[in-house]
Amino acid sequence: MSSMMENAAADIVTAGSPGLPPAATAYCLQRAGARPLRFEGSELAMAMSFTPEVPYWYEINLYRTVSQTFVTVVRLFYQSADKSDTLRAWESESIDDAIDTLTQYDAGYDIPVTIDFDVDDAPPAEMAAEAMAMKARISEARHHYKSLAGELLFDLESGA
Amino acid sequence: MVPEKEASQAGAPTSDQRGPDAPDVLDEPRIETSEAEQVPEAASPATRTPGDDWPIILLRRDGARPVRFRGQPIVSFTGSYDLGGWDCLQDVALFLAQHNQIYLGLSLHPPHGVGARPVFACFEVTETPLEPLLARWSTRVRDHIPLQRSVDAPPPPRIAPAEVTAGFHTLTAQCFRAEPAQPERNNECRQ
Repeated sequence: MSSMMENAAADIVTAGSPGLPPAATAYCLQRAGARPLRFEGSELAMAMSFTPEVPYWYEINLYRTVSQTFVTVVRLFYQSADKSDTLRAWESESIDDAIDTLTQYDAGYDIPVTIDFDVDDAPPAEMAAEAMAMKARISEARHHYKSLAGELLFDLESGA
Repeated sequence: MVPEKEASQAGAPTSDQRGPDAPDVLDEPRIETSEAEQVPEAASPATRTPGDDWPIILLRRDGARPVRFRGQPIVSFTGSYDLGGWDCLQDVALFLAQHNQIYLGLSLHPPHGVGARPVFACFEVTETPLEPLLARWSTRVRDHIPLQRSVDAPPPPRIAPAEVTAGFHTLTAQCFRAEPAQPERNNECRQ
């Protein structure tokens, strides 16, 4: 949550710049662990999973660039100010490739590993319980993301 | 890509409706479907086959493109589904596709305020009986009972796999005893 507004402000460099098609906007997406992705284009579809009951949410965007490529963006936001929001973005040659990127994203990697006990001294039952809780959190994150991706693809297909 | 006539039936604007200045693709967010899911091109009157005038049906799936086909609903049922203490709403529907495939569309909608997202699935029915497909659905729903909650959210529900499975079979039994759905023409069915 802490960097959401800053990211939103940094994403868009200029809008409606002279020389760009009327619907095109210039974007600069600051990615985690990669160079910023710059392109000019328009948003094809967007879906967001925010709900107050869940401490995180995803936002998925599909863009079409003026050079006829496609950009897939997955943003992960946290309600807690202690966690940093993340943004991942990929450029693809076709809409099929962009959708493949979208559907192959594994939200299980977004779950941090948190171990609150002494691994050397913890009884096996406690370790097993921790592992099961971790597995459940990963499963929930994957379902959360897949549900949102399915919503976006359904809206895209139906023209909603 | 869906032929223009079919897209019009589905509510999408035709090229005439878009006007000459409109972008050619941005106004057509409809995506290409895979070969197995593609709706056949419109046939000429001499070669029309049964079902050419059936509505286009889209069945939403989690994590994948929706399944798209020309078809008719055979039977559909909506009912409440007690998922470990949550009163969820479940939709179950069977569809006959134009080329004699049968699709099972399923969705589960948790109540508001619990933070759980809905679950959508679609299976092509190639197995008889249906129990293996329904068991897969039941397992999927059971696996997605949310664990992580904010402080203000209600506590996680009691997980009772046997109750969930029994409830699901009761619900689907009601579905198959229900009256067949009325055929729809020139309307798009969406799940």
